Amino acid sequence: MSDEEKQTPAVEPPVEKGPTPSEKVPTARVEVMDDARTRALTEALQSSFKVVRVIMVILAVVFLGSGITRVESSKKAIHLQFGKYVDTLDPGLVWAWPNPIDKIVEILVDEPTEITSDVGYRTADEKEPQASMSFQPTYDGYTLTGDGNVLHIKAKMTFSLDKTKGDTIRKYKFGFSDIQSLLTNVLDNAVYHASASRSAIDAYNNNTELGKAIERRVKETIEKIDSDLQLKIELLPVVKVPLDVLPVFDAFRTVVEERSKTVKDAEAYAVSTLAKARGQAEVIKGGGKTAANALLTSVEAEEKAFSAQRSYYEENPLLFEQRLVAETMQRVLTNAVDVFYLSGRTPRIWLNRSPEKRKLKEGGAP
Amino acid sequence: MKKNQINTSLIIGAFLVIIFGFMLFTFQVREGEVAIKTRFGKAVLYDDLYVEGDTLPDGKAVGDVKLKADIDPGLHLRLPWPVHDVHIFDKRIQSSEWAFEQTGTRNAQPILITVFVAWRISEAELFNRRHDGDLAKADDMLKGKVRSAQNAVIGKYAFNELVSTNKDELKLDEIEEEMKTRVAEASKVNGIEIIMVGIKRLGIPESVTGAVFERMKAERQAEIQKIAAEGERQAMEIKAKADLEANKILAQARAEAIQISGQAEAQTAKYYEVFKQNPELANFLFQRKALEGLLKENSTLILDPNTPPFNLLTQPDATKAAKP
Repeated sequence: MSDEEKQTPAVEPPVEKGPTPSEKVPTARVEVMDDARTRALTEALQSSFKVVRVIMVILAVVFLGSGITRVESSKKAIHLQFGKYVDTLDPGLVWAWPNPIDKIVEILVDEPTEITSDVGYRTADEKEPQASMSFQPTYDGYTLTGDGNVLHIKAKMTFSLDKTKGDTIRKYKFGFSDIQSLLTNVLDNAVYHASASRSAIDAYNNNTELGKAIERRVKETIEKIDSDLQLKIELLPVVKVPLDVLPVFDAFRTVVEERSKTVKDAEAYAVSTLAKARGQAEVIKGGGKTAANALLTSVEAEEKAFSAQRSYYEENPLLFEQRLVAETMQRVLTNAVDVFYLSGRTPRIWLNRSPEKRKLKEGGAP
Repeated sequence: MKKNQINTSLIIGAFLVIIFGFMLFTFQVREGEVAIKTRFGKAVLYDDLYVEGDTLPDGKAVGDVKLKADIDPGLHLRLPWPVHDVHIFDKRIQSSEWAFEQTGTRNAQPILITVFVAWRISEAELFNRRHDGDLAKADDMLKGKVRSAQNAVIGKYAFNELVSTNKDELKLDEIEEEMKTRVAEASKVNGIEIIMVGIKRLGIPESVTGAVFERMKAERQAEIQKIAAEGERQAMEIKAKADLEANKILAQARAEAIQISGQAEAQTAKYYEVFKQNPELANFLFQRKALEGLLKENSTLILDPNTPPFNLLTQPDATKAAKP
């Protein structure tokens, strides 16, 4: 408000024209009062407009500020403009026009969700499988196997969004009215497919393979429903046989384990026998080679010795023989454990006998 | 001062008019939704150019291109009520399932089946007309269609095509696909698209389960005996095979060793030629070597005192006398 405006409604001094003071006084009072009211009203309006303007500025700031959203690191955000998808935003501080122009929808992406397929497991009143001579389909939870048997199968599945895939988050948030319910149905269907294509024993004994089959089927079905929906899945099935037939299944499992052990033992025996045989074969071959080498070396040496000694022998055979016999006797007697020499008897030689105890000989020590 | 007041009032007024106009002449369709706009109760097709019952320039009836009535997410214009009315529907995939229902296979075997359906609105205008835009009514309609499809389809297949360990025999995918085709065909006129029909659970009547238990027990007993015998047989077979192989390896090694010895002996023949030059000496040397070899270790000798060199101790002259 300008100074001029402020001064305008100032109180003007009453102008005295003609009438007597007794006539003029009431009119002047009324005018003065009117001016005062007008001025007060104007001032009040001015103040109100000031307040309105301040409020407007504050509202505008608040309005624009309300468009700021902090997206947590475990979340992603979808930016909608007039309800239409614009972009998927990463964690951090984001700004968008406030509602109803833009909208930021946050989605938890890191936390896995767990769903369970137990239509083939629990009873109608949510209990564990009950012992029974027969099953009532509307009460007992069970599933049929490929060989027409019945089993209890429960599968727990955890799934989370695969952040790296394009339209996944958009589809996850806006593509399904109740994704958990749909995925539970998909999981139930996968459990049925997996059990209907294998024998009860196979499903009971090979839990891992059953889990893989269920997981494969779940992924195939999700792909069929919407190929943009990329989920990370982990699955764990629990298989139980009806309590009434459990003993015979356990006996079967024991026999299977025993068979497996017997076969494994036999396989271990086979491996060890073959390894031993191969080792022995190498020893035999090595022995053959060694003996052959020894023979060759020995004969060659003998041949050399023969050639060297032949001239001495031919010169005096008897002396040569006696010399060699004496040398030989010396070596033999040195190595011998016991030597007995008896007068008047024919010499006898005991070979390679290990004496039990060394003792004094009848004729004295050698 | 008055001018400023007027300006402020005008701004506020204009702002309010814009907001009011925005609300009155526009509407938003959010992601996951589909909308239709009606003009005096009739669906607006082709962005307000045609209404149902008109003939399009290409000669097609509007009924053939009903998808044009569907309004996608975003901001759209409208005239205020009662000229235009906007109906918004959930276009997300819905999942419906129902309780066990008994049906029969081709070979008249009674079975109980639960089926689920994944579906969504494909034509909002049709959907609105058939079900007043009510998802629950659509669910009821689907229940009937699914029941009739499952009865018709399951009745064409034998029990062992629903459950079997033989992959060639099992027709589960085919059965589900056929049910989907039937339900989809029947739901098309209701503005519904069927995404998937799947068997959720299959059961057998209670009277049959008792017999199944007995069969399971008998089957396991038979398998127990078979497996035990089979294990023994397998183990024996493995061991026998290993023994045979080991013997073969050893025999081969021995043959090889003999062959090596034979080759060595053959090689020694050239040396024996030399020994022929003086067989007496050769014989003497061989005998000496043999004697020495035999008496190498742990031998006990019992000798006559005349055996050289002991004869030197008892008859010192005998050796000299013996000399020529």
